[in-house]
Amino acid sequence: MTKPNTQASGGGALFLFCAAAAAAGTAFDFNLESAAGFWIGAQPGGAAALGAGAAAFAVVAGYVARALLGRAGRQSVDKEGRDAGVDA
Amino acid sequence: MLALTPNPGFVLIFAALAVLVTPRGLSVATIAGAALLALWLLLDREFGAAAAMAQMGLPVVLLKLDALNRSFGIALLISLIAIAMYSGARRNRFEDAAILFLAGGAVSALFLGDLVSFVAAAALAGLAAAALVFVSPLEGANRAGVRLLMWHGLEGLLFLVGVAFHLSAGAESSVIARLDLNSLGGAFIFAALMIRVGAPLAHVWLKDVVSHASPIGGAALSVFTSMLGVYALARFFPAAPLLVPIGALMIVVGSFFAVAQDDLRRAAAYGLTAQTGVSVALVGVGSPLALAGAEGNAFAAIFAFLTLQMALGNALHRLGHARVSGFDGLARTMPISAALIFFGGLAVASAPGLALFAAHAVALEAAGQWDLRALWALIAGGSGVLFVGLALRPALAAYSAAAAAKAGAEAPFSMLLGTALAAFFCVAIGVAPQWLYDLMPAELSFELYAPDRVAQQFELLGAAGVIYFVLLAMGVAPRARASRLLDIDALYRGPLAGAGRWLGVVMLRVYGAGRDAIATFSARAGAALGILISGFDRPYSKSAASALQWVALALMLTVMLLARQL
Repeated sequence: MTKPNTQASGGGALFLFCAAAAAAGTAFDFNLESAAGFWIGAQPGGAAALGAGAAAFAVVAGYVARALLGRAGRQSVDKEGRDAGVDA
Repeated sequence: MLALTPNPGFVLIFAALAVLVTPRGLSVATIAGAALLALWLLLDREFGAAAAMAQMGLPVVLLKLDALNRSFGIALLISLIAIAMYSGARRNRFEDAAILFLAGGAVSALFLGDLVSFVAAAALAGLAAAALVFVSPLEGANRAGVRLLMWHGLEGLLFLVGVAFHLSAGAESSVIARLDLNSLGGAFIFAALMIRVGAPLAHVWLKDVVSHASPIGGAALSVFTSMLGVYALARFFPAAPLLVPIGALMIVVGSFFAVAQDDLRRAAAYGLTAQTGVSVALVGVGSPLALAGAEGNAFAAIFAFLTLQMALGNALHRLGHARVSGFDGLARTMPISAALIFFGGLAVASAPGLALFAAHAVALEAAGQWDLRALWALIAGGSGVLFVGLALRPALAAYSAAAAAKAGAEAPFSMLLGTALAAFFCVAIGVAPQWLYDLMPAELSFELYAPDRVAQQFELLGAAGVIYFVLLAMGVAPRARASRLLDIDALYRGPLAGAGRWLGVVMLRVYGAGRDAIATFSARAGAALGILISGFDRPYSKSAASALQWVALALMLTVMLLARQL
């Protein structure tokens, strides 16, 4: 019996990519004496905080945009298109 | 005798005419050759203005070269070479001509030295952009083209009124120079440029046309439209404080939609709005470092967004769409395109080693003042948002283990080649940024790859990615879903368009009723007049008309008698 050809997700590699960048960057940031940053960026770990804020913004923006401005599903998209004179 | 002025943009305009009649197999060579010739004309010339001529008392300066327009010109012309490579996958001479007219208008406008010629070249670029949308095979492209024509019509009107007011100060004022935002002419030109750069409320045209254009059209529109506005702002309104909040708003609006849009070509257009906002805000800051940062950011953004739009165009070419929700497993059928999309996302997010990082670091340095700390935070955080929206989201879908997207095969070789060429320029500028810094108007000695600078950007992007992954794993982050987001254009394409239609119907009914009333009145008046006139033919009949005749005759006789007595 042959095993089904399962494909591994690349999500793990992407996470590793991000985690390595974050870890290396943060380690350097904490250990380098001459912080070149400004304001939040001048604090050790400040850039990581900004990055976390950016991710949170992305998540919140996704929900807010869908809730307030979204037209989910293909059928709704077409209907909205007709209503608003929008092209699909 | 009229001297031949070698404005590099004119070469592209002549090539646009030539490409309509050359054999189809030569179109790639024609576009690339025209771009190379224009580049040679640009680099072969010393700074300064060519001989001006006078038309109707106004000076016409067809070529004025300096550091500012030279760097924009180099970026646009190199991009055109990559676009030429990319165009080999299909044969459409009308689209080729539209691209060359668009590039020719934009490049000509960069190097023209008087306002009237600048407006004419910008209008040509606008018309060509609309033509580029019209020739797109995608559904709804015609209507998007009409909407773009309306935006450019409004922009052209504002330009013309502004130039007219400005010229009222004297013929010499038509030469391109810094304008006063507080003057009427300056304000109108500023308003026109707000449309061109896609300032908030006028930002919708870019995502509209990019998402309806063909793969190559979307890439060309990303390069040759809004960046001309950035150049013009740096030329006409450097250090205008109003540009700082406008640019900041562009970053917010662009980032917001870039992470929320399902259609990645729209998302990339919004990302371009965000990066254009960085340049606009830096023009408003106005210090030599900020102006250099604005120019460098525009220069690098051209290549980064060209790469991303081309890579997304590859997916569009095979899948028929570029939606995140339809990208599942794309990397298995289109591995090179999927990798290029991820690379493009990294490029627009200012990842170290790529072009935008070289400009991003200068931008952060220029905005690093206490009273500009909000702008600094937006520029810094914006790269993290674009990383999540334009690199992670598509990569997560493309490399997922879900059923492969129905792509069939990898994109054609020429499309991959064009995308790879654009990506190469991103890397080339990123790893050797000094040649970008050497192009800037202000002399810049900047150590880009200082360890703390690189470490902080890695830290920011990596942390954004890790937190996004964590939120995704916790089920907090929204999953990709086929959806469409309304923007401010939904107002004028929805309720306002409905109100316009209703008003049109009412006006038609009023017109019809008025026309009927006039017809009835005319018929009745004509009948009455006919009766009166026919009465005149019977002067002795006993009727009111004959009585009237007798009265008139008596009056005439009386007047004659009185006249004789006097």
